[in-house]
Amino acid sequence: MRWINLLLIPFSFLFLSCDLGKVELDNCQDLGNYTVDLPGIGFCPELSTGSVNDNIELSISVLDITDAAGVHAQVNYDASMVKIISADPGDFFLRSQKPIFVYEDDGQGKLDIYVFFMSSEKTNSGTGQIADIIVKLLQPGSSEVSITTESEILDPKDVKIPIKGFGTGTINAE
Amino acid sequence: MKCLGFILTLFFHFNILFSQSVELPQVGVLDFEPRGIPTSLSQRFTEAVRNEIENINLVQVIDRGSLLSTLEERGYKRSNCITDYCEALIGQLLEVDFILSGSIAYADSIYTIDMNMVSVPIGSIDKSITMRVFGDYQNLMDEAEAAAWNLFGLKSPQQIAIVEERERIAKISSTLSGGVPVNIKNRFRWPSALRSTILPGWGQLYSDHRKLGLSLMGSEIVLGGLAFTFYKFYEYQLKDINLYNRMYANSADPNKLKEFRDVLLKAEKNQNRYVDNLQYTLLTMGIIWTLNITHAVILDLDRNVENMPEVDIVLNESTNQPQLRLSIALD
Repeated sequence: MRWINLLLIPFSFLFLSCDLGKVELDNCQDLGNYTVDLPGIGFCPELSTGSVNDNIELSISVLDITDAAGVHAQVNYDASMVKIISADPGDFFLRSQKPIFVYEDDGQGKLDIYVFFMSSEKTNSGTGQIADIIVKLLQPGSSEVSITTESEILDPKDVKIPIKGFGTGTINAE
Repeated sequence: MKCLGFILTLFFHFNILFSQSVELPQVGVLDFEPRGIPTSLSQRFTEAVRNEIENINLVQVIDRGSLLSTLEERGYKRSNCITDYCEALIGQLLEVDFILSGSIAYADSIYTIDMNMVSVPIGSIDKSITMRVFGDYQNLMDEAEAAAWNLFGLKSPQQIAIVEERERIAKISSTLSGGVPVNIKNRFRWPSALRSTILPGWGQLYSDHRKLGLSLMGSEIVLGGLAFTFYKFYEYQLKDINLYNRMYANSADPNKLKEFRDVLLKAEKNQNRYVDNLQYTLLTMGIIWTLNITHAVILDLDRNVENMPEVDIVLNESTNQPQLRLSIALD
């Protein structure tokens, strides 16, 4: 063994890297991931990133609500930057029976989502996703999506449950 | 066989010694004739030659007193006897085998010494030598030894030493002037550096820097222990992060989620802190290691330089000229 190798061995320890554990706080049930007042409706995640022409998934969640039987969520988006591809029901109202789920996209930047609980339990409380939306990134840049104040949460008697927070989200297209 | 050879050689030498002690030829040394120098100087030189011949121990020398008295008894004067035949007659009177006579002349700062060894039985010169000595009286006296040895066809010890010295200088000169190169292998060696590279402080201990060696070794051990501790803490935090990440992802309970979030954030913070500490500790270890190797290299360099051949300028007494001297330690 050449003597220079004896030098390299100890110094190689300096260049050893440690695998750093990465904390993944991406649970949509975690209220800590939202910046809206409670109870409210928000996006999960609030910041999404993707490449142009990619489809990315965005969830709409109800946060810390009590005895909700149905939700109308109105979403504003920048139609020049993103396009709604599809919307599917989330698992908040999913039981043995699927919830009634209807969405309406005017293609001009407004998406209306209607979800109604069909289970025998009639209501559900807490935090959960009511819809999973697939959007396509059209142009590079940043655009905002927001829950409008037209959105509402209803109890089984079709009475509005007060909402304090209407969330916003940011979509970055690279 | 070796033993037999040794015994024979010993016997042969004893035989020679014995025969010589019994049958050494006798020599009468007449005072050298002074030519252009004081008589006393000539007599002193003759006396010196006489003493040297005695020391050589190849012949028996008749002492000066008995020689002069014998000549005076027979009515001879040294100045009147200048032929070989006459000297042979004196030799017969003295009952010696050889008569040594000669003359010393001085001119132009040169002493010319003529010496004749006359064989008494034959009545003619057996050996004749002429020597020239440059310089003063002391130089002349220094040549008495050479004169005595040369009479018997031998070189004096001083002459042998001078010849050997000249040969040695000639050899060095030929080497320096593009001859056969002197092969001085003096490879640099790095015992301390190698040891310090393998284990900090080992080279210093090897080089008798005990305190420093132990300090370096101790520092690296302490830092190594710290680094290991930080690494284990980092591992614990990494395990926590992986575990709580899974629990967090699979939980729907807001309270649990909040708890897991707090634990995860704390574990991440601790993990980063321990990794930072680990890196700083390893960096410090590396710096100390580097310094330790550097110090060991310096120690080795010192040692190597001490063993390098030394070259300095000295006065060569035989040539009376300055010359370069190369000294090589043989330890």
